[in-house]
Amino acid sequence: MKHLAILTGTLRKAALAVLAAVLLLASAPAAVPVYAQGPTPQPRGAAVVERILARLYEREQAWLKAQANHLERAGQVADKAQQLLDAAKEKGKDVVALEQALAAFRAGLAESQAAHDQAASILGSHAGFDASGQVTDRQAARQTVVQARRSLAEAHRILVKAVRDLRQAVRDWRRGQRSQAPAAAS
Amino acid sequence: MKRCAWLLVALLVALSLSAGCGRSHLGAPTPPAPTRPAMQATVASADRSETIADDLDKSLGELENSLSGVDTIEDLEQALQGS
Repeated sequence: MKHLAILTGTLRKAALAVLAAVLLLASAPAAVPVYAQGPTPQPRGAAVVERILARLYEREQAWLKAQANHLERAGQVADKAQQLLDAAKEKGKDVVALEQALAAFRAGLAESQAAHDQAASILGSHAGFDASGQVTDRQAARQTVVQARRSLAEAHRILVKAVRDLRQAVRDWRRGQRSQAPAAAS
Repeated sequence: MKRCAWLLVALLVALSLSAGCGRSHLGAPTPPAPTRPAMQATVASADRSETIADDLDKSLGELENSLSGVDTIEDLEQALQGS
């Protein structure tokens, strides 16, 4: 009888321990967040990718704006180069090299503008992004930023080369004019 | 009377001489324009060409610098490639 009482007591303790453990587990915070009424939960990596895509989209738009300004300034530079050419021609100077350099610069400018317009079109259609620049379709958004970046970089590369080449050509031409001037004077 | 005649002749000679001198001045070809303005024009023209060339070089330099400072977003591009 005494043994039976001890057994019953032990069983009761065990049952209480199990119950306490169940209650403890139920009340503990879940390891994985539960979205009762929110969007479908995302893996952490996907959220990071979307943040990067949104940031890339934003910075590409800033790049596009800056590049539009650079292209405008390059157009003004072409006008100045034309003024120099006219003034030098008026004085009877040899302007062949200058004419060739300016023609190459204008061609580069047109090429750069075309690539820039392509980037503007890609960013303007904002496939994979909503109007506020948030990702709506990860794959399409990735394509948008990759293609836009490619066009922006292409426009940038061409413009940098055109500016450097024209600057060098103008310097060479001036050096040539200076070296010819004493020879003509003597 | 003789004295008066001499005076009259002297007066006439003086008048004719002065008139001749005046005519020669009037009829003389226009003296060449002072060379100074022409020289100034040449200098101004040379300066214009040089001024434009200086201005062009400056603009090209500024544009080149500005272009080299462009944010080409390579950091995020690399982050995207790695993700």
